[in-house]
Amino acid sequence: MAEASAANPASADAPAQPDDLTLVRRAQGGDEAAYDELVRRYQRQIYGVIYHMTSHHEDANDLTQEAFVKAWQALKSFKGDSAFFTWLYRIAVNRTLNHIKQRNFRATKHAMSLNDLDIEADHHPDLVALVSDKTPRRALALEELKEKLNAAMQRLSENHRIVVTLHDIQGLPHDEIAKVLGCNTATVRTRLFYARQQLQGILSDYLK
Amino acid sequence: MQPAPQNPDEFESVKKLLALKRHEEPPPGYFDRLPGEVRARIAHAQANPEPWWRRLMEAWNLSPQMATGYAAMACVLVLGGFWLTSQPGPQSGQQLVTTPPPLATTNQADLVNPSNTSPTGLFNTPSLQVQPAEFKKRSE
Repeated sequence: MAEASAANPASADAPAQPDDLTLVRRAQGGDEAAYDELVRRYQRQIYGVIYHMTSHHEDANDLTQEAFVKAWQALKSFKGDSAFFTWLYRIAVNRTLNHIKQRNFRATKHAMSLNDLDIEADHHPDLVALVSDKTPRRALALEELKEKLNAAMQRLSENHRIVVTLHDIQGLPHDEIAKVLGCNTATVRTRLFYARQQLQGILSDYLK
Repeated sequence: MQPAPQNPDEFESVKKLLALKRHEEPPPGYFDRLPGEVRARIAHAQANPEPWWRRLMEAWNLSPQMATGYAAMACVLVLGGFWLTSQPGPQSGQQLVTTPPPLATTNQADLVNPSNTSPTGLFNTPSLQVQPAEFKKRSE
């Protein structure tokens, strides 16, 4: 999933394409095609953050659609004080956190769609380094690692998991995460530190 | 509490592991279908607006359990109020509180000097009927 341009995805687009604010103004005027374009622009990031929080494709699909519907319904209230991207993320993150709280989410009850890992990932240099090619049961070890990684993520509290997701997976900077979560940067850094510390403890066998 | 200063390489392995999650993808063609599904859902939401109580719950960020708890509490209060009001009052049924007996049984005319209009007790002490004390000699 292309997350590198998550902080400012619009800049990666072709210059001919209208910026977010232009599309938002058009969508506020009832232009559905403009909103379609915004959905296309941010669907990967929104799906990504929800998926990494829930580790469940069906939930992520449902919540992604809900987030975009809610954003459309609340679009009139968007004044442009923050970036549209930040505003949209906030809606998605809040809905995801509510969903997790409401369902008392337990990782063990959810089948993790780890088989959806793309083919490219198996040849990722980091992964190859972590799971040696010479290992006879490489595929098995790889699967085990993926499962362990997702299970470890699910063991984090929601507040820690969201920070790890936004920073270490999606590549958002601290100040952007602070805006999305409505807290200060120091809080983001603190949560990130403790989340990584916990993950290091849980995944210690794989980090040797 | 602020964490201790981080060594940049301290969590390098964890970060590398987490970076692998970027490769997790939904089923093929998912992102081609999503905008259409969102559009359909928006149309459905416009055609069938959510009931007021659901919007209220969302606005207050209430979980179903909390909402049920609040509703149950409100029901108990309302029923309790009805029960209290349906109880017979002290006037209609048996008289629970009796009127206190008069403080003095003496005739007021005997106590107050009619020539003086000042209130009783200020300048003219009411003449109370006092029985003389009886002293008995102790028989040795």
